[in-house]
Amino acid sequence: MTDEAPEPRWRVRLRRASRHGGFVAGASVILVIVLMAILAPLLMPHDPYLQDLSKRLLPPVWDAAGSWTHPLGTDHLGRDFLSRLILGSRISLLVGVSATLIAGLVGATLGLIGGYFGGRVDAVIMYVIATRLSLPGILTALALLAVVKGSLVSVIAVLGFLLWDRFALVVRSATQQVRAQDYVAAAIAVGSTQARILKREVLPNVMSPLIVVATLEMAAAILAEASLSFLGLGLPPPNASWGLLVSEGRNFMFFKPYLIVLPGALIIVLVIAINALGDGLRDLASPIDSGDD
Amino acid sequence: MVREMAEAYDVAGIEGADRRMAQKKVAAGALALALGLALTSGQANAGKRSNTLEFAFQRETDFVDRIHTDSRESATLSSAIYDTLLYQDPATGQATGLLAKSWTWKDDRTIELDLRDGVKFHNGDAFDADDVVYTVKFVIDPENKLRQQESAFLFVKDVEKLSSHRVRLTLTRPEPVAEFLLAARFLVWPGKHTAAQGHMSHATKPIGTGPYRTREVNPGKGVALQAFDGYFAGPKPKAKIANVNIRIVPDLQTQVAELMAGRLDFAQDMPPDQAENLKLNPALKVVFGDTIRITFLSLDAASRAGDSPLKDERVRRAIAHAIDRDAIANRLIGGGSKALSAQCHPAMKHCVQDLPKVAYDPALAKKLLADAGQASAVTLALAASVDLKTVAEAIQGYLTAVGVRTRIETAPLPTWRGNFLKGQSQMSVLGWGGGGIYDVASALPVFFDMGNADYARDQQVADWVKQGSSTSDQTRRAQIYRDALARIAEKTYTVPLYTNTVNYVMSAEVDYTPTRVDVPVLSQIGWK
Repeated sequence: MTDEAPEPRWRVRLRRASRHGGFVAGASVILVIVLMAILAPLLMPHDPYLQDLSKRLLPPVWDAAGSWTHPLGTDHLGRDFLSRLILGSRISLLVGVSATLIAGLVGATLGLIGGYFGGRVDAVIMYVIATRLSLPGILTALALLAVVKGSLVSVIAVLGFLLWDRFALVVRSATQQVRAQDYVAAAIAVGSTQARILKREVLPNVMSPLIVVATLEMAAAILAEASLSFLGLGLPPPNASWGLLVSEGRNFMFFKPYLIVLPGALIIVLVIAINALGDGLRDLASPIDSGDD
Repeated sequence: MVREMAEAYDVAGIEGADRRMAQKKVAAGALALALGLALTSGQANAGKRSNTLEFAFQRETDFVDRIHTDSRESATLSSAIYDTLLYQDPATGQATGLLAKSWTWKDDRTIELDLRDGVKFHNGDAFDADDVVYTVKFVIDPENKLRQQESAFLFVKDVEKLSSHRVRLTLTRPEPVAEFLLAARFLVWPGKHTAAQGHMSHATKPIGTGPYRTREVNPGKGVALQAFDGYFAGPKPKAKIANVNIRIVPDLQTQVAELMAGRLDFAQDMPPDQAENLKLNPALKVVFGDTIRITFLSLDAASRAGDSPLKDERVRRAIAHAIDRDAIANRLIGGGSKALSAQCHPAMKHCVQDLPKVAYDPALAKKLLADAGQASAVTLALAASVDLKTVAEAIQGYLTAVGVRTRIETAPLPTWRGNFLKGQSQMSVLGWGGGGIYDVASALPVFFDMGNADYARDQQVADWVKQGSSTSDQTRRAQIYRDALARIAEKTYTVPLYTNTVNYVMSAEVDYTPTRVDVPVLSQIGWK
């Protein structure tokens, strides 16, 4: 027997998180990219939109003819490539976070309602989910954007309304499990309203899988934006989305490969980092790991 | 391989840092070569040994004959498969006889043509006046609704057979560039064959008299040509290569990979930066040439696409002052491109060169916008076909700098053209080759005739343009076009941008000298 008070749960989780390699690596990379996005105005050495045709395709600093004035050289219109890469982090994160929030809101709401009420309501929601799942994501996004024209808002909206299905399925399933718990029955017995039960009893208990799905969908949204921009139906020029930079660099892939490799590598790194973070969150939130170690 | 290629630079005398840079580029090229080989396995053998020229088109054409449609692709194919009544010498630009060995102007509306004897179609039919009569009657029939029919064909009112090898053409009006027009799209179909098979047969099984016969038309993939042994000796050379495989390779990077892998012998219109880099590959040869084509910015002065600030002359002038045309011509286009000051190519007859130059002056542009009450951000749509996207982006950059926001809308050429002709373009970047005709009459009428492509809708200009196209008095034409071009510039109905250049990237084994007409004549291409 000991007099020591049990270690607070948050501290246990923090300690466990700090020992999870994937979580730490993912979170660190995301932190760096988030800082890059927030501090972009301070970090960008030049105006990312300022073109100077007399400085087209200047080589990067590691090339014999490169200079520190433009450390990563310039693009096909003489714009500073490093500045555009830094600005691209803002767009990728903005699209990823915003589209995930919309998708999460739509999917979680439908999942909660379907899972909690069951019966015909659930059948209707499952029909809607099945309809959504029958649509190929990128192709549907391409078709929609061909009609509404690509812009930051339209890309976020289209992706948001195409990526909600996994939220709905996971939340619905988790809600069905929570719905059967005694504390929900107790809340019903004391006369809590259904809205209050959903908000106070169910939602907090489905947050862990929701967050894990959110990380996966955020990575998917970032990749989808890059794909759409690459195909010319995402963000229009002169935006500096990483996908658009890959598309622009593609014309020079044989002779100036860094123009396609760098934005492509950043997309890969960010997506892997988000997935690693998601895996870490899943491990940390799993029942086996949730107790004291 | 890299070493061998690098040694080639030693021979070329490239030294020091230049050499190291060159070696790096060669290494990159070698990597590309490997990629190219992987990408293109299974393609036909290219090159001199198989006497088969592998030729790339970036885009498809819906017809291979220039009667049904007019594009660089159809012009390339047409000149190989068919012959026209007259021929525009690609080197000099002058008209000479082709299927018509000579011609006589009886008056300013009547031409009599003596047709060449002994000419055979690819199907063995003998060519004579009946074929000319059949084809000309087809192209001047408005019911056939051919593209650009008004400007390309309808200057001819009627055709009459005078003998088996002599015809008379009657014109609707005196047409100062009639000879060029007869050399452009007045190709001749075999009359009996076409009457029996239908004119659409020329889309899939074209039969002409040209130096190449068609072996196969594979829609979406390409066209296979074979030298026509029975070709007559005329101003257009006989085929020098036995087989030409024209393949549609829409992706330029794939074209680059195939060129480097030796699976493609001939490609055209590479981005200048790519062309410069490909020059470093000793297995390839890059040739730049001038063309008669110009690129300009169309402005919706007449508000056809809806009310917009462009109806204000000061806004249009501001846009003209905001764009650095010299930088676009010299830095972006390169290859000898020149900034334009008038809405025509300097090599065209009656294209004035002494109009006041619109200087690149962003400060003046901002002042003009402020004077027009448009100092706060103006937003305009800027359309372009996909191949002109980079130019549109450059213009967008210049306009953004003076406070004009633009929304770039790129589309494949047919889609862009459809929208443009429907009056849906606020601003468009467009290229115009004028059918390779060295006369202002080929540059102005389409865009200033109050028709579908006219965004100025200036009756005065339209009248001048019509008068210039209806008289053979060259002194009067010179004055008319001077007035028209001056007014177009003064009102800034368009922003002339630059003269186009053309580049051909070809295997070192290929022998071809480019001409000013930016359409390669396939029968002029040979092996070294």
